[in-house]
Amino acid sequence: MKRKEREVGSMANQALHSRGLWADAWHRFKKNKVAVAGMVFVLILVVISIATLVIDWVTAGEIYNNYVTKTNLPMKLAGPSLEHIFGCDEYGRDILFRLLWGTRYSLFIGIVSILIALVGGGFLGAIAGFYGGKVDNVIMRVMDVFLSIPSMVMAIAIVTALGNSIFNLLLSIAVPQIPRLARIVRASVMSVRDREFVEAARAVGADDGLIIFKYIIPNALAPIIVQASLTVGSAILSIAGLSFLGIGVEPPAPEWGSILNAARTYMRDAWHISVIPGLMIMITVLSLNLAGDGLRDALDPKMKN
Amino acid sequence: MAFLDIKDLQVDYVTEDGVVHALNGVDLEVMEGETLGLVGETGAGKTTLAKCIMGLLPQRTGRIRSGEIYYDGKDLLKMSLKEMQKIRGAHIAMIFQDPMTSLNPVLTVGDQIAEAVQNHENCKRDEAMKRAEEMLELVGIPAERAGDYPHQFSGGMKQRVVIAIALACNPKFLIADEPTTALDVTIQAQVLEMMQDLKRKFHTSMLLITHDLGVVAQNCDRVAVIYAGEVVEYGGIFDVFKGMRHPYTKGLFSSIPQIQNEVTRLAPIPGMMPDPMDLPEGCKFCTRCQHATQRCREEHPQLVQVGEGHWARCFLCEQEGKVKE
Amino acid sequence: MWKYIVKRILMLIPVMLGTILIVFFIMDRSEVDPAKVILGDAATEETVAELREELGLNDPFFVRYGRYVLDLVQGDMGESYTYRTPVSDQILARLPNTLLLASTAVLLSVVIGIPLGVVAAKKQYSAFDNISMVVCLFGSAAPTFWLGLVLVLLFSQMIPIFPASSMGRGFWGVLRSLVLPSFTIAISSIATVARTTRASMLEVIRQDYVDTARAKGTPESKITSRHMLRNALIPVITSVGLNFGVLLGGSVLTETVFAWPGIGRYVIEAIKTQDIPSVLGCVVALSIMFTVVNLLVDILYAFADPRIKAQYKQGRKKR
Repeated sequence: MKRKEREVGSMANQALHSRGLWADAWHRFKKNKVAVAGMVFVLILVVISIATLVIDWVTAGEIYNNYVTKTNLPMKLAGPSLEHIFGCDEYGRDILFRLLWGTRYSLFIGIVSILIALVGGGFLGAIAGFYGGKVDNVIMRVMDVFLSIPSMVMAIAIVTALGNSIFNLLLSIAVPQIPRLARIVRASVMSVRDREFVEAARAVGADDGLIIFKYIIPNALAPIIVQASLTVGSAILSIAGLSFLGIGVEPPAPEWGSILNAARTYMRDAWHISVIPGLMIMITVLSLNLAGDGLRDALDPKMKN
Repeated sequence: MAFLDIKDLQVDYVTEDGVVHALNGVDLEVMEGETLGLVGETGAGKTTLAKCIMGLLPQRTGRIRSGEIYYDGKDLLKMSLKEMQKIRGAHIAMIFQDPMTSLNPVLTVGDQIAEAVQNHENCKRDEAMKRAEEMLELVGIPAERAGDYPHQFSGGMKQRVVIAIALACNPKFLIADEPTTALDVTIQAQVLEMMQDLKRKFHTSMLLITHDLGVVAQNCDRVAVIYAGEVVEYGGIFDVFKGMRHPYTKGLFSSIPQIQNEVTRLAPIPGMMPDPMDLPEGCKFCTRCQHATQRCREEHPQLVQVGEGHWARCFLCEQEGKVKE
Repeated sequence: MWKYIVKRILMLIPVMLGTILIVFFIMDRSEVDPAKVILGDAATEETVAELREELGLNDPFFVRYGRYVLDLVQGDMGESYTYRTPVSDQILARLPNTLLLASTAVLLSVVIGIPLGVVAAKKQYSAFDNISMVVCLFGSAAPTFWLGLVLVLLFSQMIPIFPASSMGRGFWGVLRSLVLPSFTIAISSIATVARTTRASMLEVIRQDYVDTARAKGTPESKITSRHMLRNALIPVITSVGLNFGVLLGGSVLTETVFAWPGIGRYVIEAIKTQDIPSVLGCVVALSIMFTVVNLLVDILYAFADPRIKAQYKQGRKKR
């Protein structure tokens, strides 16, 4: 953990020194082909989820009802063919359609839950890092307690107690990530807190809130964005896990994890239902991780190897 | 005959940004029992030379373009790793620049000295530990501290431990790479004095790398001045200090304050060392030399004998003596 | 050192109280009325209200929390609605199975992950390094439960060598049935450990003390084990500890896939039957396991790094 905090410190310092940090970073990022490939795939997924939403809106859900959720028993468990390249599931629904329409759940829940965690963790971490001392101590001890509950276990507890509405699902993924993000934000804030320009702002009478939002957060942003982007992957894994256990997104919604849950029963007869959605999840998380790693290397070239 | 004979050593580092020419044809001889000082700026190739003798160039980037290093009649550069391991520590040992980082933090200092002994002598662990304790006493650290870890020692003490490791197997040749640069001035003198004592006691030859001319004056028999990976002047300590010939050497001397003559201003050498990826074709020093002529920029000067065992690499000295072939 | 360990154990108490408070608070948000669940649908409003009073469900939150903690200390975690037996009995019966699975997975990730990372680092940029790190990237991106499904497909259906579900009998039976689930959980942590080890080794390889060791003629194998690995392991230990949490979460999913009779499967079962005391008990048990493992890791850490050990020694002197 210590090392991570030091890395964060050096990234924040760098943010101070080069004015063209983001332009530089983008230049370096572009050279990293693997990371670019990861980002392109993530962008494709974003386009798919927006496109499917638009299609649903334009066709008033006709495609969704006819192709994604409507049972078609003659095609039950049909293997991959030209007509259905990924085959069909236990109700004869085309898996490709279900995967495409399921993209929105993983992406939306993954990204929004991390945004929630970022707001929560960012707030707590910024306060802890900015004020230090007792405030810091209390907040970070509470965060330690949260960290002592395995994140998947906490997510299960939250969904069990509160039910599996979309909001609760978001909460169950976000809450366990709050302490992790709080730590990162705290470390970055601490590394910029005592810099000259903050002193200067304080000297001309800026209040704490203004200093935090106008001076500290922008300068501590780089490591926070990197960490957040790397966390989205694990959020997607969590949501898939919850759906797989049957306590996440409810069927017949085509969430990737819940397709896998149903697939378990038919593993003997139709391998493709259990293999393909999992590959989809894996490639998505992999792309996010590659893009996140690339972002980290681009924002702090010193850390690269 | 020379004890250690380096002939036309050329070393490059292959990096992502290009090829760094670190050493460009270094010729050096170290005689038995003598201390040769190697002086130069940061980045002149001093540490590269030391690592090259030890066979410790970074495997992936370091590349020896040409040259031989004869020790005891055998070329170190042609030796296998196994043979080199027998030489390292037992015949040639090295003291590193920064004592803070050159000791393993998770092993006791006793263990680290004993390891050197066990590498070369077929002895039991407790025998090796006993030797380690003796070595500690020798460098002025109580034997009881053998069980302590490096972080429990001060910088000067750590360097003593490093010296104890280097001398544990009684090597015939010692390379000291800026052994005192990282230490406080008061400690520097102590450590150097101790090294001199031990050197005399064990009759060790030494290559003392430094950028501090004062250290050279006090400790060395001969001195070689290195610039941009090339020896530009070398000779006996008195010859070089009293009758330096190369403009770079002169520059080095005039950039240190001298207490006896009142000067209002020091005269630093103008400019910077040339980019080792893009060295000048002619004399490497021509970019900073006030005597530089068109010839200096185009033609590479050879070492010229300017006195008994005193050589300089400059066209200005050409008339005075014979060119080294 | 002993004082440090005792101190750390004492520090565990507030952390555990806090953990239980959070879990208890979350589960307390549940809409499920225990009285109704116990009495069944046929019960009248009156009898439900009576039972609520009897169970103390109408007491303020902190009173109930205090009662739960006091009971827990005495080993009482309440009664399972479904089984009508003490939750603690249910958990204790399953705990060894979960521990067996989790510790096998930790063992696998250490035994496979560390050597993988070491070799990859020593041969940086080689084909071995590239391939193993790509595999690790995939490994850490794959969902645990899906890996379970794929392993079952491969090694239980296509090549039937390992059982697809439940725990076998006898030593060999258990061992055979342990293979697939433990690998399923371990894969992502093997990947993490290998990547951490590699990064940490790459840092250590460049250290001056490695050159010092070479300069005294130490053979390369000894340099790797004694000088590099000893130092590189320090961050790896932390990583293994933190990963244990992921691993426990993974065990919930994996136990479900393989019908492994552990706490993870029990908690999912309990969720489906709205058996709140069991869910609470399981979450508390898993969290306590995680906390205890982290304590062990911290102590191990102090043993691995003399600088940390010395801090505590000094701390003792000062006091």
